[in-house]
Amino acid sequence: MVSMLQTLSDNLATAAERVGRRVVAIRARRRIPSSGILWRDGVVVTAQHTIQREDDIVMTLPDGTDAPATLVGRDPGTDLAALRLAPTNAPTGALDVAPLDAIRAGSLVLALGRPGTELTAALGLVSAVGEPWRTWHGGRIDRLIRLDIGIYDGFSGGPLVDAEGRVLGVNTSTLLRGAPTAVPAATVERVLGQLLEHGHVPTGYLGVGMQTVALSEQATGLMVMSVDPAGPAGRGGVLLGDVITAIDDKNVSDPADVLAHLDAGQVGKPARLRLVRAGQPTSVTVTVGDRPSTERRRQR
Amino acid sequence: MNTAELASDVSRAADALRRVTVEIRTNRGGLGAGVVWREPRAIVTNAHVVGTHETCVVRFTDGRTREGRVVRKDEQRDLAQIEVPGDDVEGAVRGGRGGGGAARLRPGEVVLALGHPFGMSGALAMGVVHAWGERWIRADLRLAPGFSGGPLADAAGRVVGINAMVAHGLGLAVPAEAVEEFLRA
Repeated sequence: MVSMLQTLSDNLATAAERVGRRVVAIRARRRIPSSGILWRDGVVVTAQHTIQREDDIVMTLPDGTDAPATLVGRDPGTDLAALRLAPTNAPTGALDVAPLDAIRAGSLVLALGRPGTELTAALGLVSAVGEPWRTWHGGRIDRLIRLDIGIYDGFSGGPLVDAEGRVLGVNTSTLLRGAPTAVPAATVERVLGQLLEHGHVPTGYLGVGMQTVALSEQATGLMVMSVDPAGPAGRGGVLLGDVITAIDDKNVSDPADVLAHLDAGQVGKPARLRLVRAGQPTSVTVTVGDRPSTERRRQR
Repeated sequence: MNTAELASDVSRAADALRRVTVEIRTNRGGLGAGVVWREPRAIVTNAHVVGTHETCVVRFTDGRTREGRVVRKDEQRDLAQIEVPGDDVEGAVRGGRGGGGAARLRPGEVVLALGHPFGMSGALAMGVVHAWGERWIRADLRLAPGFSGGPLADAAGRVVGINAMVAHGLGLAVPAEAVEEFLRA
């Protein structure tokens, strides 16, 4: 008679085997390769922080063969990157993705990886599912998924899989200060679409450094501490020392309020900044720019 | 899935493993585990559990203790065979799927380990196969000193390896095939 424990064991191993057919090893850093998932035909998703070089990236496919890959784009905000395999590769079909509300605290989960040629698995739990959150790099993530699971070689970039073999998200060890977490599949879909379209995730950009200041006992605003003269705010006439009190009639009292307002949809649109300048209320309208990457900023 | 049934399956497998797991103590106080192997008949542990000792004390799960003699050792595979006069415990059922044994272990498969961590007799650890290699079965389960030489078993309670060490948080076990090769050498 097959026991319940054997059934569980068989389900987990079958889930690992099924999803494992789409887990690849990515050689884009020194020493141990990271993992990636064939998310769509010819498109692999991985953890952005494991891509340490952008040229000469080689993947080891589940059948053991090596294939060259090119970087499509990366998003440090959500720690996701997309890579493209040579178009000769056979179609992989649709990925079996679990809906966002299927991710529940207490669920048994497997973290799969391929830090070389062999598929690896670790068993753990979803320890908590939180609200949508913004990472310290500014990325918007649809749910905070905290995991109770061991982090071994190849953890980052590998899929988080439930006992039914559905993919819940992409694992990473960097978004929660070294603690294991997964970026939910819904976020991956959204970011992947932007990476494929733009090569990066467009984020609204004003080009100012701000600090919260008190204007009166009740009111606070954001004092402009630095201005990128070539940035949207600089070109729009925002000056050092201006205090921003609202954007598009939404009051702001923390730099995070500004970030929240500048999400992808705002790029290229006008934004009306309400200011206090030299004690007098005024306003300027600027065209929201696309945040340059650190690298592109350095080149400027 | 019935969780009560699942829990009783785990404790049944643990009981079966306890019957074939012994405690091995050397006269310098080291404590490890060993497995009563069925075919070929032997008691197996890790070479590092017995160290340079030629004898050790073997304690069976029913409380009997016997003096054991180290008759064979392979430091490279970290295996040792111990002979105990008059040992009559029925040996462990070996995990063999069409002769595949550890070779057929799949990542994600449930595995159990039994040992005596920190002197706690017959403690159980549960996890999954992390990866399979020729030399070691790597398992994602929490082992501690005292699990050395004890059994790694599959979800049916069949022994698939001998736990030998912890590396980067993973349990490393010598596959059952290698144990049999060692015993038959």
